[in-house]
Amino acid sequence: MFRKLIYSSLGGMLGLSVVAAGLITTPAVANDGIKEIIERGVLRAGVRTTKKPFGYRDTSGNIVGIDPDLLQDMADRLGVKLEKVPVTGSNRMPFLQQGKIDVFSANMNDSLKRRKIVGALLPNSYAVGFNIMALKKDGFKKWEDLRGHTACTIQGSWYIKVLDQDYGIKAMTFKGGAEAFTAFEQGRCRVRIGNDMEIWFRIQDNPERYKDYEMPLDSFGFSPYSVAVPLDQKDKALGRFVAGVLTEWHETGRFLKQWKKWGFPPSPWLEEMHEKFKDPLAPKS
Amino acid sequence: MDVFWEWFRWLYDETGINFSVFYDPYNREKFAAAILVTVQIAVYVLFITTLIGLIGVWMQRSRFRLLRWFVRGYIELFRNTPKLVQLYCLYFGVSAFLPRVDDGTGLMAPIIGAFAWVLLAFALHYGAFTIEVFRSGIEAVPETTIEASRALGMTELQIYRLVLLPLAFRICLPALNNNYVFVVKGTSLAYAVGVNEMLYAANQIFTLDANVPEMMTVLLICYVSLVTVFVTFMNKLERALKMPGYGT
Repeated sequence: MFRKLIYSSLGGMLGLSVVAAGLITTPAVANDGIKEIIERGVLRAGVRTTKKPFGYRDTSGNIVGIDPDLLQDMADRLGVKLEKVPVTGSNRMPFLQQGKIDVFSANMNDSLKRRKIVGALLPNSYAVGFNIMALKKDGFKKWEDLRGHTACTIQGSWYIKVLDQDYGIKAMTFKGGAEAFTAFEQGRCRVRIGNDMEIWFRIQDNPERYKDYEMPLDSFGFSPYSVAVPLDQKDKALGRFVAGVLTEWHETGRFLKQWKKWGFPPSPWLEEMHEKFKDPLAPKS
Repeated sequence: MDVFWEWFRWLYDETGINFSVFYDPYNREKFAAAILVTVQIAVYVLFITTLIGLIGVWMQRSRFRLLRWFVRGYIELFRNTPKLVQLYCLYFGVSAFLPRVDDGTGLMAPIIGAFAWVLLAFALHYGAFTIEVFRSGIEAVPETTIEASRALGMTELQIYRLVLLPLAFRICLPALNNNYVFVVKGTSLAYAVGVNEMLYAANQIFTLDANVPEMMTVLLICYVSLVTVFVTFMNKLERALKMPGYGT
């Protein structure tokens, strides 16, 4: 009786340890995310609808832009249909976490904090830098030309000290972009320093109002943007697949091509990425 | 002095408490300049509001209905709207209709700069309150005192200058003090139009060095010190002006 009890409990323990060992050693399903997408036949992708031309609605209501282009390419390569899910700056990360979308390319600044919440992938997709809006007649060609001049910008911009110390540019800061633009246009400062996309498209979209203005310098201080998948998918098949497409877009210069197509300003950052990723054995054209 | 400043660098290295405003010469200069600007705004605004208060209260008691209406309208407008809105209205709104002049670097700048607008906006805002404070003082002077003065053959101006104002000023001094403390504290709003005062400079520093708690502490101490110096002065004045047997 006593011996029986020992054997059975030993057996029980053995069984338990086998199960435990199984839990540790069985490889996690590494392709679950991508498998689900293929079985569903649809890639659910988060895109912005108000960020022209990253992702926005055209006159017929379709969501277009460079982000939808990139996601369409991913869907095509998987052989599934693309479902564009409109997201905003505040719900894109929760949507990924809740499994409402599989991936997003939604104009998101890369940061270490965000990488703890979503699987933001490398390489980064594109980047936004800083530039100036100036009167054409002032003829500024390089940052050095701005020495001793004043610049309207937004409070809390990190580059204010750099500009002051390196180029002697005096910043005059305001609460928001609208105030800074207004102050600049009213002649409170010589130039408006800000996000190059914002300045570029402001001039493009209001040609009449800004016919005397230009964005003449090389942008600097680029902050890269990310495409993201759910955090647990980052190093699984889905994450590696998306990262592969991103790499390919840099390698073949497709990012540069689409960038131009959508009318973005020249991007030294994308040029540099293309140089980095391009095929060293490719025949010179 | 350098040893003193360097102590803060040591503090940062040892404890992570980052008072970069003290050990970084760039930040230190910017902040020192900002303190000066804050004091300047405060002093100028105090002076102008007092002037507005005196003139305003005189107009309010004028025999001409038009003048009284004008002051009434001014008080309602500037007392009942937020200071930031007034500042924006003047700086962005009214300014757009004013002529522009070359500022010396080839920039066609508005004729009135940010600093001047701040002085004007704040002075007009607090001026409205100051008029009301003076009025409270004047109305507290017993009518019999005025009548007695008239009986002595004093002119209206004499009564105003020699009897009414000296009494009224003493009565309203505590309320005036209050108003003036608001003026000194209120200078911080100048940061909204890019005037380099203390909050503005602190904002630049904590954006770069990510030391918001430290900078806020410095800011708090600076404002408390400024106001304390000012209140001490005003209390001295109050005591010096005290009339034996009058009031409590």
